[in-house]
Amino acid sequence: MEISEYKDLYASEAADILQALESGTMELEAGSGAPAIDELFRHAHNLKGMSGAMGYDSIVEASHSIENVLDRCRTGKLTILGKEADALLKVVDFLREMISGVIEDGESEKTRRLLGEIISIIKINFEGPIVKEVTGEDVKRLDNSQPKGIEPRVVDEVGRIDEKAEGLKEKDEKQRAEKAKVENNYYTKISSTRVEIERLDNLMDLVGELIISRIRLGNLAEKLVSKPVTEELIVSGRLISGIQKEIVEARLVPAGNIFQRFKRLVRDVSKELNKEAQLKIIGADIGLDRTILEAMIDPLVHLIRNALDHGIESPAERKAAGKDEFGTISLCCRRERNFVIIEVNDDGKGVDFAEIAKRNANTETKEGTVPELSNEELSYLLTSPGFSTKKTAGKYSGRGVGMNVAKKVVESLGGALSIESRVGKGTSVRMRLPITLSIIKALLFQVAGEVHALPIEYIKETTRIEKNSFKTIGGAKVFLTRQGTVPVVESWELLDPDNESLDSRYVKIIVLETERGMGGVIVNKIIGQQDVVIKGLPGIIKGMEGISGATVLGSGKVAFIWDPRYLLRERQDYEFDQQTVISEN
Amino acid sequence: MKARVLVVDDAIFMRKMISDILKASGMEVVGEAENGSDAVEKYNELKPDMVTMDIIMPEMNGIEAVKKITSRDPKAKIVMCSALGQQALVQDALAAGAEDFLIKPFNPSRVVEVIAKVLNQTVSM
Repeated sequence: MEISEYKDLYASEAADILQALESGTMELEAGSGAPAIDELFRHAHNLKGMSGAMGYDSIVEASHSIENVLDRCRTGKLTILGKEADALLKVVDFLREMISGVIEDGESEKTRRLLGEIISIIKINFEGPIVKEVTGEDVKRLDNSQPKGIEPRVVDEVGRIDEKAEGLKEKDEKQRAEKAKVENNYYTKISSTRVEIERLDNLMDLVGELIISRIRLGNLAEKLVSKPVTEELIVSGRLISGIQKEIVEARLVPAGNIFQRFKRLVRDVSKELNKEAQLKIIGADIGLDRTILEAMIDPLVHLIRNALDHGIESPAERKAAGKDEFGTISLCCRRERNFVIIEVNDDGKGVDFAEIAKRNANTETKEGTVPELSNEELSYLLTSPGFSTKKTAGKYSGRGVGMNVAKKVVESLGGALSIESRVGKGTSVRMRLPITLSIIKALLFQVAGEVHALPIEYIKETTRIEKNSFKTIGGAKVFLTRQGTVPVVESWELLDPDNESLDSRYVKIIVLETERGMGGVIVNKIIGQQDVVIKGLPGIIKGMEGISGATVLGSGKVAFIWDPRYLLRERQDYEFDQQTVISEN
Repeated sequence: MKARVLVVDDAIFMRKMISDILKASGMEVVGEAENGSDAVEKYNELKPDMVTMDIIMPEMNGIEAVKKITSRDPKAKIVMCSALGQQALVQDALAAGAEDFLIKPFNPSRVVEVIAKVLNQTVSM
């Protein structure tokens, strides 16, 4: 038995346990009772067992001392309130550091030091004579939990009797349920299994290869001109896309996997800002591509901090405005056709339009008026680099980079971000993301003998126009389509799309549309629409601007997948006066 | 014939480790369960020759599961797996009908020894 084989499994399960310890502590703090303690105990216990098996003695010792603390909670010797929860969370933080330490370099000076920290936190906060200072928080909790004027002992007694009655009822129901269960036992089937993500990734790659091979077969079959062969190939093509779809679904990870950890963020940040706020999670079971989900952690941290800092008011302000003193930030996830929507909503004060007008030098403001901004304008302004309504940069936000970073990440994933805000009601940031990054629908076309691809969702239309119908406006080459006047993407001309079709009167054009407007790219031949498997670019061309990836074609050749947003990046520099264009024609 | 074993533990890590030890010593792991009620169901479904059973698990703990299994099948062979510090619970489990116990972290040779002992009893009975 080679212990290092278990390292990955240990790391992933330990991470789950740390997460559970953290959220369980917060549940305890919020007043959930014995079942939460039992759960916490079980997690600490499992960590101890696993760590023992790995030979990580310092973790065994640390989790054992956490078990002891929980044991005292279980017997009622200890209650977890604000201060204790802080201490326990601190312990979890140190434990996390210890675990990543032992996984990387085994037991070391560092892990022993961290163990020392944990033990001393536990000594100071949970051991020794319990002379507890009664804090305002304690009184508040007592006030809430007991009817006034009744001795705690009596309440206890009543509770016990209730429990007994409840217990009897439960027992009866349990027996009935169990009987039903025994009868069903023979028919129950194993309904789920755990698969390593790596295996799913391999499957995904294999299906990608299968699709390519299927396309090659299609090309060969075309030469045969055999109807039965072609028909069978259509069937197999459909089956392959079926498999592909299933694997895409199986690779999705529930959003809750990362959403849960933001509860801690909201708790800590709101405490430091002297605000009261809670995080509500909606749609934790919605599945997202692992890569997308991981990339979204940073932007979400920014957005949640923003919401706490700019959105949620202080308890006093909220009370004055007739709102609940507890602010709510909700993190929602839902599926909309082929997209996943993630929203960060707060019920705070909304965006301060007057402040924005002041900050935005480009807005002409009349004396004493606040310009109304549309949601589009608001989104544009708030996500511009360096924009902030905060007078000074705080620890959590105010540098004006957060929103810009969030937008950049979302866009790099092929998504879009928009902001809506209502004064006094709150702000909502909506992010639309693709479900997967591995496969896209693309339009394949040929330029100067090479095949290229563009994602279909940015293509407005394909058209052909007479070569001599191009106009020049303000130094830019444009053409007229049903969509209006469209400029030709200049950088594309470097590929020399004209040279192949010199003798023809017409050129073919793909009209692209992004949030930056429209633009046309001249191509020689349009091949058609196809699902393509995106492969990352290797080595030296990795991260090259304008190319989001590559795909392998049926012929075995590689085609670049272009990023339309990059191609149209220069569009915002041109100001087209539609009137002039039309009069020139 | 290979002995057929059901491995019960709420930690995947432990299930994998126990399964690997058992497989390495020539046994067949026919199923895994992650809590007591899951274990009872799988026991009835798979009828394994032996069960390794964790104690502290969600939903139904290992001791309850031992009681349930042995009440339907008094000949069930169950070995408790527990971490240090749970001796009292191990006693309860043995009283409930478990055959023997193993203490985590496991020593593979001790695991195989205990299991062989438990299974041999079956043969001689």
